Amino acid sequence: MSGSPDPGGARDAGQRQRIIEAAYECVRRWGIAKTTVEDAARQAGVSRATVYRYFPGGRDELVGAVVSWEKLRFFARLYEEVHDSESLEEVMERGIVFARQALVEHEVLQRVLQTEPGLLITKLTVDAGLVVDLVSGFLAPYLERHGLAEGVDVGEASDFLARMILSYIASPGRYDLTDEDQVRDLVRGELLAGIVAP
Amino acid sequence: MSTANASSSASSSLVPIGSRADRERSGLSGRRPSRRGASGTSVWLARGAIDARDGRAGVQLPWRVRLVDAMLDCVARQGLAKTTLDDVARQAGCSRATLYRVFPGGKDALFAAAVDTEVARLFSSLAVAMGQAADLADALVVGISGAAECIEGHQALSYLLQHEPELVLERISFAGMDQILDGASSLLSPFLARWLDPGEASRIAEWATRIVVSYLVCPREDLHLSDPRDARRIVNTFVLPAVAACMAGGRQPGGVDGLQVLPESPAVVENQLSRATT
Repeated sequence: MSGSPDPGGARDAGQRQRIIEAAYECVRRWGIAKTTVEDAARQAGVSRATVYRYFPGGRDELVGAVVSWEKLRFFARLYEEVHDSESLEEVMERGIVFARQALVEHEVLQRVLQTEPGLLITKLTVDAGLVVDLVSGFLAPYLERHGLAEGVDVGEASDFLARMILSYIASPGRYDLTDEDQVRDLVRGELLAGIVAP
Repeated sequence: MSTANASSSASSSLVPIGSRADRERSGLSGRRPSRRGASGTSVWLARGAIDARDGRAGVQLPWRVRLVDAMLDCVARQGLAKTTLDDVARQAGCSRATLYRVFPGGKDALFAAAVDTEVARLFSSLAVAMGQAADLADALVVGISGAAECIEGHQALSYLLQHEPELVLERISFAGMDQILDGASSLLSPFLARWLDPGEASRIAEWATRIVVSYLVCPREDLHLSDPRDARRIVNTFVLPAVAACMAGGRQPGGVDGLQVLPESPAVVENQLSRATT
């Protein structure tokens, strides 16, 4: 397997995955700009040609895949953390606290945000709409189960909440999101005030 | 100094429409067709402030503004990376030597000045619109839709978002966004404080800023904040009920206030804005 990849190798999800993880390791060590296809290939133990077979766009596409993969892992961890919540309030409060902490403690993210913020944020923003839809789709059933204020549309409300949650997680502004009382205030007093039935 | 000039420098930063300064600069301000309405107001407001100073301070300030505007024109056409100082000097109708005299820091300093100027212009136009609002809902609607309109119609910004997004996104994400939230909330909360106590005004101003930036970074096809009807629906559905709940509960607005300076009076803010543009 590690020798010459079979011609149908583009379908080998395991190989693609190994290259992404190898490239992530390179980004962790050297940052985005200094990570080359060559580095990723060496780290993954494959040839440059193999990397190009999976990522025809080369370095740029590979780095994009790394950022998307790590972002999905982040939201998968978030899902694991909160999916057993029983109420809309609980899922939002636990989600915001966990996500903010995970983001602050994400060593690679924080380092690259310091050294190459423009590059990273551009990659992170590429599919911002997808992330909003992901969070919004996750929240919608909680909204449906909760009594909503008159005239509030579940789709519009979950989209709005997803946007605001993502905004607060990335930039808390006036809120200290490690403080559960403040998060409770934010969720119940601010974000949900117009959405849930009084 | 002519009488027109004297009266302009004696007046406040709010130079009336149709003043000599305004007419003189129509050649400059007419070149960005997107700058209509409220944002158009901001252009002459900012320029008026500069003009007033110029009457006292000599010839350097107009060059500063003309160079900033030339920079914005070049960026709107070809982006920042491709814009050279020669391009900017040519656009402004001055020599490279003049450019360096006004901006010894060169391209970086000029771009930073352009960003600061446009931010100040945005806030002054919002201040004018929000200052005329009849009630809190109106103030929020004109603030949100005015900001969205101004940002969407901004040609230099649009070019950068499309071709050099890192220059913009870096400033409106993570820590950069925290700075914007802090600035926007202290500059705009005075205009909400006509109806709210200062802490609450600052919280709501920050919230409105998040709303505008979220739909800018990630637009939604069926919702355009620049349309006052859409902005009003968001304000009525999500924001005002939270204000009402906070007031009815008699509780303190959420969050830490340490980040926020106490809102200044609108007059003080206007003064700060006009200083920021010079």
